[in-house]
Amino acid sequence: MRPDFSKRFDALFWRWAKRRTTPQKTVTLQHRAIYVLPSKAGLGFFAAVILLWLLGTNYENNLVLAASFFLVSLFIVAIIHGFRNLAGLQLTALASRPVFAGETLELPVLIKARAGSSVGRVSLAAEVGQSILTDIDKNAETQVVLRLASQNRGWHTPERVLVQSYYPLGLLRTWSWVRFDVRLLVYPRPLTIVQPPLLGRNDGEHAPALARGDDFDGFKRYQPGAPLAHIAWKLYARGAGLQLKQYVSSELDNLWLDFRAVSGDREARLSGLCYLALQWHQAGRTFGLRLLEQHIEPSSGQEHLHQVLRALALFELERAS
Amino acid sequence: MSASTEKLSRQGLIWMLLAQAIVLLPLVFEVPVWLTLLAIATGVWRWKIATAGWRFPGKLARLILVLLVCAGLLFSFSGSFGMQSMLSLLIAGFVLKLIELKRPGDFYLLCYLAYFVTGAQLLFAASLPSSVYGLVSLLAVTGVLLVNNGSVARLGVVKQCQRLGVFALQALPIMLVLFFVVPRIGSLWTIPLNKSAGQTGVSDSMAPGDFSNLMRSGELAFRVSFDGPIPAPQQLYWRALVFDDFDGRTWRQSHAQDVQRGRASAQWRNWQNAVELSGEPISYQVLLEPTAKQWLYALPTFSELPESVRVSPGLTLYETERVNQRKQYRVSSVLDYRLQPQGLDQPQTMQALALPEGYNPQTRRRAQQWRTEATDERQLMQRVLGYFNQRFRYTLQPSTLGEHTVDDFLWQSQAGFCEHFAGSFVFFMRAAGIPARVVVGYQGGQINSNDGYLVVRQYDAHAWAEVWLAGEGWVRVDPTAAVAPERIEQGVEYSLSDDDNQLLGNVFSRRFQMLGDLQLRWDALNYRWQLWVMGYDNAAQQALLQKWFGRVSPWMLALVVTAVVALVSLVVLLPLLRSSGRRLAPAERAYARVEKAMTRCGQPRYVGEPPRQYAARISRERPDLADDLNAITALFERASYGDSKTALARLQSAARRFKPSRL
Repeated sequence: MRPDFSKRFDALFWRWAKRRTTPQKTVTLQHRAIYVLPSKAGLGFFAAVILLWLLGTNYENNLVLAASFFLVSLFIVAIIHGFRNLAGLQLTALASRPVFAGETLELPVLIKARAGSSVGRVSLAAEVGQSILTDIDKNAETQVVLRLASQNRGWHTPERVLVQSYYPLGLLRTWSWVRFDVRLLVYPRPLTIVQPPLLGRNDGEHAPALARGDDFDGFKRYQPGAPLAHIAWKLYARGAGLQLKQYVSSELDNLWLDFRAVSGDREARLSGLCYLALQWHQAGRTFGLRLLEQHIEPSSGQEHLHQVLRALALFELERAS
Repeated sequence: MSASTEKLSRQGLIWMLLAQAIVLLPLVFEVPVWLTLLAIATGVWRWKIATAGWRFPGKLARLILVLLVCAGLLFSFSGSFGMQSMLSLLIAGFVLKLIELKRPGDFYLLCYLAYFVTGAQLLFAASLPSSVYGLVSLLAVTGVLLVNNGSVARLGVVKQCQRLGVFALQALPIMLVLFFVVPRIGSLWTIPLNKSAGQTGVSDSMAPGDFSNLMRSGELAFRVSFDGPIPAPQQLYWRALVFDDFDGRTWRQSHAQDVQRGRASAQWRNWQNAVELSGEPISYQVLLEPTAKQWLYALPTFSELPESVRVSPGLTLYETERVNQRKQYRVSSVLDYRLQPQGLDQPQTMQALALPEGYNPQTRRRAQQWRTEATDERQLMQRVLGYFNQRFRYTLQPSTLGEHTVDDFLWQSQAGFCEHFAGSFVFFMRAAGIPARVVVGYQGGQINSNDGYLVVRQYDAHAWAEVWLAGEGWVRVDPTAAVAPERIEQGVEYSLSDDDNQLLGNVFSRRFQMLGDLQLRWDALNYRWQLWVMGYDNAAQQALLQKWFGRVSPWMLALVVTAVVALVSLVVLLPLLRSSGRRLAPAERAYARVEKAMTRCGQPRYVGEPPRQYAARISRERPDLADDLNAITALFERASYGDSKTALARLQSAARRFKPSRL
């Protein structure tokens, strides 16, 4: 089969098959959504069987005929086993970590076999060329992590996950398309920008500078998780161990990420803000977000960062959709 | 296919090499020796590539190899085209492909070639053991496919074989129904097998020494099942060929008799008019081993014949094609008959009296002398047979005969076996002016007491004479019977000295009763296999299907196949239908109980959260439950993965006692 033909066939077939599935968090593969067709190797197998049958017929040799019938029977049994390998599989999409646009999204999927299903090799793929091969364990749950590329910020829904098996003999392709009711969050792609002068303290009237103007307050013993920028490397070099520089931040020190303060089109601005948010978070700064009407009060920490990035990711998208 | 990017697994390669060895082993004797060596060499080469870092052959090396193999094939078969040369070509390709095996996708072609070679292997040997071996070969090749597609993890040999066995067992019923109902179309075209079949066996000429070679072979010639009782040994003359042309040394068929050279003219269309039958016909079925010859064996003379079988002017049976496969045919014979009693026409009489000039002058003189001394033909025959009886010795080791073979035998050496007796008797009769000819075939046979059929082996080969007497037609005269009557009545092994007996084929089973008995049982099993499995042809199929289903229609057959497939599917899928969910192990059941209780109190386990992680989370969120849950989790892990009985019991009681309170 030529690849573009098989691609077109695949697309046509998917349009039809799509109606037979509904998106769910946990999908159990049902017989109505499992498809079986001979693989290329299967077609070759059939050619071999026909040749063998011709040999047996021509020499009127029952044993050779029986051999060809045996292979046909194996093929039939392989259909059943291939089907049984997928039927009843329970796939659950687990929570996934948000990524930045352009990174690879990871979608963990939990696979549970049903009693009575064959346990063979199954491949899962959320995207072409990204298939993951795994054995289904009859007695335990199997977890695989699917990868898919993220193009744009916002919610990303994998259109379909291909669950495919050539079990047991490679002669048949047994497959099903699964639609998961999951949304994967993609943050904007962080793009380095020069900090604009108007971005910063309070209402953005003064030029801000990263970590400047904060009042140095002394040293503190290092705690795991503290931003690297706060480590007093000079002290460390002198052999004083890991110490953290402590700053006192005042109300005035609050930084603002302001959509209007950066230049460029919308996406460029969001990317820039994303970059700054990451920078400031790393520097342990307290900052807030102003996205036109949407405001997030200044704060710091992982949770806050996530909130900010999420707001950036979904800006002017949620309303539209 | 996604498999193309994968690496070749070591286990898959081992299976492939083993399967190849299994498939090729029985064909070692059918292909040239160098091909066997090549197979071993490529196998070792491929193994070294995987283990010792040897390299795959480059383009040039491959080209040279292919050219060498082609040259070798041309040299070995010198251009003759037949199944054996095709098979060698196939095996050569099969063997060379092995050193191109790089990716899992390459396995398929090799496996399909192996399937085909297995088919060829069955073509050359169709006995019961070789059928079983064929099945093993098919399974081994299927195992290669299974190992490469079954699982990512490397499973043990036992586990793989188990899986394979399950598939085979499930495939078996479908195969059987296909075997029984798929129509046999019949041969489409002919490619000679050019196999060494029928190397031993009655040939179309008889020179001194031919038969003694034949009698040294214990090989099977054919087996016969009689519908009624088996006739007496003296009546079992399996007629095959008539030799009526003598050149002084060798007896041959005259052109009128030779079916291979003058096929159309040799057919005797109204043979029925030339035979007078009296008595009841006896019906029997013959299973003839492949002979690579056209003639068949039957008791004279036949009343009913299969359609495809022809009759020659010598009243022998022949096929239009050579018998390259085991052949089964049914004949009815009437043992009491008269052949051409009305008389012979001029050419026939001439042929039956013809003698080469200048040979055996002594015999000619003596024949004419005895003819004048005798009152009639019968008396002359009695005198000759009596002479045989008094003076001659039956032995498989006769002394060599000179130019005048008959003279030397009759008046000097006086020791020999059937071919000498028959040949010289016919010569004598002709010299005396009595039409005579030599008939060859087999005589007697061994009764398999286990199954009540007759086994005829090569050492039962025999030659006798036919003499034409006015008013009686062709009369069978067996001069050997005059010398060694026990040869006819009991078998060749009873008529020979111990020394001679050593020369007979199959000497061991004749000597040791138990071994002989085992051999009989084994032969009975093989015979039944041949009869029922190999002999299941179009006619047998029609009969069987009619017996089972009454009227046979294609729809009916399709329905039967579908029903069997559905039944197998049902059996395979039954566990799937029966269970609505996963069946839980006892430990899992106990843990599920705990989970349920936790869900009720508002602390469910997240999907996919491992138990240990769950316990850790609960310990943070609900410190009051920490001790219980940690203990239960530890027990659960021990019970599930450590297979500990005590842990399971403690887990079960802990799960029962576990009653978390709502906050």
